[in-house]
Amino acid sequence: MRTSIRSVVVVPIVLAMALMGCGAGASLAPSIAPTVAATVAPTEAPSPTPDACAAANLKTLTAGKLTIGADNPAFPPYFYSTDPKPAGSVWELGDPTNGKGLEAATAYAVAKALGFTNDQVVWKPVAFNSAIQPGAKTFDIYLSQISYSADRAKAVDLTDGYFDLNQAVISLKANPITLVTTVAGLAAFKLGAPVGTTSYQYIVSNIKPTKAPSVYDTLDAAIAAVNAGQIDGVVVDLPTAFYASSQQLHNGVIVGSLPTAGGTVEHFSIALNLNSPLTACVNAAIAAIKGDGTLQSIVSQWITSQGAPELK
Amino acid sequence: MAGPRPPGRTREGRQKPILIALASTIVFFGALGWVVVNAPGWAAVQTSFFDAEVFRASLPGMVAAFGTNVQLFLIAESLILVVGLLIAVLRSLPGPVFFPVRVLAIVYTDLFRALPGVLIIFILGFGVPGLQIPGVPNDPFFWAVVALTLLYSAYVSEVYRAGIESIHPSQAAAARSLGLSQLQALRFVILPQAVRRVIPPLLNDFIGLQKDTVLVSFVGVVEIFRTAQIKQSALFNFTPYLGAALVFLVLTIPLARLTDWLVARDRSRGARSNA
Repeated sequence: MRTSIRSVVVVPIVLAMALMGCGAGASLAPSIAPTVAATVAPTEAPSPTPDACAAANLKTLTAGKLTIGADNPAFPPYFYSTDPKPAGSVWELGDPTNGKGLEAATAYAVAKALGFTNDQVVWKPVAFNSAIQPGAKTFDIYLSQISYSADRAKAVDLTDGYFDLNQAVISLKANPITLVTTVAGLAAFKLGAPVGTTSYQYIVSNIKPTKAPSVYDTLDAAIAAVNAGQIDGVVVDLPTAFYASSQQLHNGVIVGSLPTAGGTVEHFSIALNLNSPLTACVNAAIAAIKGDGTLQSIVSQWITSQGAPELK
Repeated sequence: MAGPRPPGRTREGRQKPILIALASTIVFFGALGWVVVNAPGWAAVQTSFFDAEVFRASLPGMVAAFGTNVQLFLIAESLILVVGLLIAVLRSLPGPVFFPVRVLAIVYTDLFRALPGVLIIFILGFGVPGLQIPGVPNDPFFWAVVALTLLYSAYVSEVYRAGIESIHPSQAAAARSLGLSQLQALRFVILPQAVRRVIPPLLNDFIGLQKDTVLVSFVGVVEIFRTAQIKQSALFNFTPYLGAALVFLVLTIPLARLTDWLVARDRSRGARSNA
């Protein structure tokens, strides 16, 4: 009680210190300037001379062979099973060696563009997590739905994309939304998406629905709302659409994949050992199969005609 | 708390405690502010939580979305006050005949006070519409109101019951001796006194309900918290949450003050009547 005079004196000092503190705080701001942009290295390496990319000159794990890794089990629509299962096959569910499925077919097309025959391709099961870790690899190239990210590209080489992860609409077979063939036609339906996703942004900016979209914490909650008949469809990326419509929805269906609309679209990349001498050649091979329409026909055979029509 | 004032204080003597309180408040918050703004991460926190530009841009949308929360808690609160009272009365019914009713009321209050609100909202919001029973609504807003009503009626019925039990048994006995029936005694003697006594705790539960309306965002209702979340993820900035918090503060702080004032008034009245 008696020290009151003294504590009154202390106040201005503390206030002055607080003000000085504010000044110091503000001057710290520039130190968190964006450095992210600089670290997103372009995936293209300097274009190699044609000779370096000839099959005979490629420094593969086993000379004259191209070892391709894939996750096991491998799933449709990326890999399909061989029926009956070949004796001694290590592959569960999907069998990459038959060349069926988006990634199996893409892998063989890339191998062909590099100059390998189908007989020179060796498949190896490699768990997804170990494939994208830094360190020596047991494969030359690896395909298993690796979406490109700048962080991953620091651990392994990631090629240009071979498949764009477009958005898609999923619903129940009985819902009238399944009759829609255009993006404009979706506007009349009640749509939903998980919060903070590209999918939600796509609904708002591109579909512009007449009913406010419902927003959920997780995709599972959005799926539950479709099953409960509260919304007509959920927008998700295409690979998720395949899984969710077949596994999570009762009598689910992909209404269609949505056209790319500005901004950066995520894509699947082929992974290689960090700084692999093959990366530039694989990029050239991807460019080649894009250029001659091979990739487009693979996508149309294994995605578009496998229950994911394109909405115009 | 409000003891007799020590006699013989001069004007100067009375001002001294006020000055001390003022000084200690400023020192305390000044020191706290100093620690915060000098923290190594303050610059980053300042831009991601206190961005004035983002705040201005996101506030109108959130105030609009708050309308959904207001609708929710107004509808739910009117139902809760009725359902809660009904359950409290059922639980207070005397005599062996009403034993099963009392057991049901006890099971209900135990169950719904034990279950997490989110779980009730999920089960009713997705589960019941998922049954696809014809004629049963599947609107998540409808089921959100039902879930909040079930949840809060359990708490509120206990508040009412405490009020009913706080009325001395002699009151009921006196009412019965005047020729009132059991129900009349409850209606005209017990409940009016009991309800007046529990208004502050009822207001507390009402404030709780207001805040729990954000839970219905789990079943797809886009209300203020979800709107803030959408803006946060679009702008990579947490400031919209601050806006949502402010909207709640503007509503709940006056209510909390009112509750405290009612408690204080009640207490002083009690002191006077006891004297």
